[in-house]
Amino acid sequence: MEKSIEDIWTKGFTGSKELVTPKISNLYNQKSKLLLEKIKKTYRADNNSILPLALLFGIGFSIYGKYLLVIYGVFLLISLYFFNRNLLKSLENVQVTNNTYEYLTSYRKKVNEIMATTTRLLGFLFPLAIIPAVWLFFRDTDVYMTLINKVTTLKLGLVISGIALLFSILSISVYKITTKILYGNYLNKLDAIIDDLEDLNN
Amino acid sequence: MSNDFYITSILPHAGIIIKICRAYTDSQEDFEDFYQEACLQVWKSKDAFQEKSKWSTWVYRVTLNVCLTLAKKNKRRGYNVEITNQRENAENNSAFEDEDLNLLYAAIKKLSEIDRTIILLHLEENPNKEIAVIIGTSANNIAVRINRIKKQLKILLDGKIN
Repeated sequence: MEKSIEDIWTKGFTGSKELVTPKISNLYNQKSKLLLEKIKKTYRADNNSILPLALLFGIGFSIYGKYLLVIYGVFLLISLYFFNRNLLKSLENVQVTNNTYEYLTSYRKKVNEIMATTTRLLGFLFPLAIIPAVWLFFRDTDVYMTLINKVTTLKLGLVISGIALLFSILSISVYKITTKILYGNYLNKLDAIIDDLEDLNN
Repeated sequence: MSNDFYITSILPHAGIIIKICRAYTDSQEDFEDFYQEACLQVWKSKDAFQEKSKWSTWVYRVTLNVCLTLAKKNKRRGYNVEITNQRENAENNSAFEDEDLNLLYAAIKKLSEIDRTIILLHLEENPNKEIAVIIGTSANNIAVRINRIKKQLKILLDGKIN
């Protein structure tokens, strides 16, 4: 008589050598291979790198006597550090133990939120923050004085807006491309599983 | 993770962890990776366990979620691929002594990831209601899907996979 899959399963594992556990060692110190953990770790490392950057920025521009720029730049970088830290905290809330659909959708939602926030940050705040920094750097220089005297306010405004727009497009594009390269395949797989679950629910 | 926790809380459920991880991996190396990651996540999540379900159900959930979302190593150098493939072949050939079980696993691996999850839980004799809670759907949907999966598995087994 033909065996059912239940019979094959039960008999296959009866008194079986198949269930010998693999050796595990030093599990406590093991790095997690889950993507979410990887994202968290990379994100944390990226964020921590802002601190030495702020220090270098401070030291570098102090040498040139650009103290206002130092205060402005360090303030911005420290704010960015705390902003990212808060964003990172939201990732901690995704529980691996929720039901599969909830887990995967909340996982995806968090990824989407982070991507949207980062895009907004790079697209709007970053170019806006760069402009005062450029002004603080050039404000006492001959280049700036010449520009102020020779170029009309309207033209200057257009140039500044152009630079801001360029920064915005450039930073968003770089972010999109790197995200696609690093996480594209994985996110596609995740979406396919979520689609499958939604199909099951319908 | 303390050795005690592993012995008292994970080892008694190692069987289900092994069965699930086998269904999501093709090589011994990946299997060991998945198994270790599942144990790690079970340990990490132990404080979140609120005793609303059985501990064994908790272990299933964590292991399934780990298997579904484990980031795989994609990039391997040429010579590593060759060595790994040879190893994979050797190990796959002797993965299980029971030939029927080997075929069943091969067929299960042909299913979509969610279907694999559902059939594994079914084969472990979890009631549809419990599977539905773990997956996040209704028991009726699970019953319908199980029938469909069984038909699919039968076709694969009759055709000796492909």
